[in-house]
Amino acid sequence: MVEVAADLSLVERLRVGDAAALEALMERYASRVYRLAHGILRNAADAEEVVQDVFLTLFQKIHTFEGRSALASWIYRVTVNAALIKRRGRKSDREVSIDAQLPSFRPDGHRAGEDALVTVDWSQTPEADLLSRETRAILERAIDDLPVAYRTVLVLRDVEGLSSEEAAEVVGDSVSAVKSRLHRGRMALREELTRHLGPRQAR
Amino acid sequence: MITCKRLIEEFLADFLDGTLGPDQLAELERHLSLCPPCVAYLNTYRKTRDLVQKQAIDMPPEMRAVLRKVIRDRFSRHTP
Repeated sequence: MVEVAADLSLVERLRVGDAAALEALMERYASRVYRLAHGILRNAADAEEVVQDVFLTLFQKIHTFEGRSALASWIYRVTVNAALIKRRGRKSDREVSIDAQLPSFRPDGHRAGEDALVTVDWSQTPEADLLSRETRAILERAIDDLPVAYRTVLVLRDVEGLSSEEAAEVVGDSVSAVKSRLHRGRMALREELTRHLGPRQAR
Repeated sequence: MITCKRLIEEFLADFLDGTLGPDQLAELERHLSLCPPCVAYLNTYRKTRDLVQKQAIDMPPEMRAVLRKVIRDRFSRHTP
């Protein structure tokens, strides 16, 4: 509740053009904007530009914020839009079709694939190995490979901790679409991690 | 009994959210008690989610200082 009250007073000050309020808004929200922008765009330089764009936009467009959603939702939405616009200008695109990344199943409903990989449970791998530079690089690349719509939902839900309802409001989609996209994104990442961590475990 | 495909594609996400209905929960638990590959899947799916959370890139402190300066320079004439 304290956060809501503080947000409302910032909004009022921004509406009358108080630039110091913009700085306060930045202190409060810059980390979140950066994490989301970086999650979508995958590099620091682009993310930095988006953070600046977002705060300038927030100041210029504060009159369009009607207070129907939470301020954080609005800020996330502006961030997603700014990141997607910046992404359009970039030629390099690692995206791989999501279906190609999902687990496949046999006609009897069991998972298809090499026995060892289907049964391996690498979840108990020591944290030091899971957080190693090598594993982080594999996960980073796997996230790069997700189609951007899946990556966006993944960051909103699993990194920023938004609920399905909040994430749906940010991306302008239904809750069921967001849930499905999150699940498929996580499944794709799990497949990739298993390909690398599985064989080690199964030895 | 539900198949692995049904468990993974339809039940798993709601199970982790705690929104699976009682009948579906019973079916999921029954399947897990008989299917080590699905137990492995559940554990590694959960772990994947945890790793994604730890993968988050935080804003470099220098960038915050730059942002502060940008805002001050750009809007120094806008203080009422």
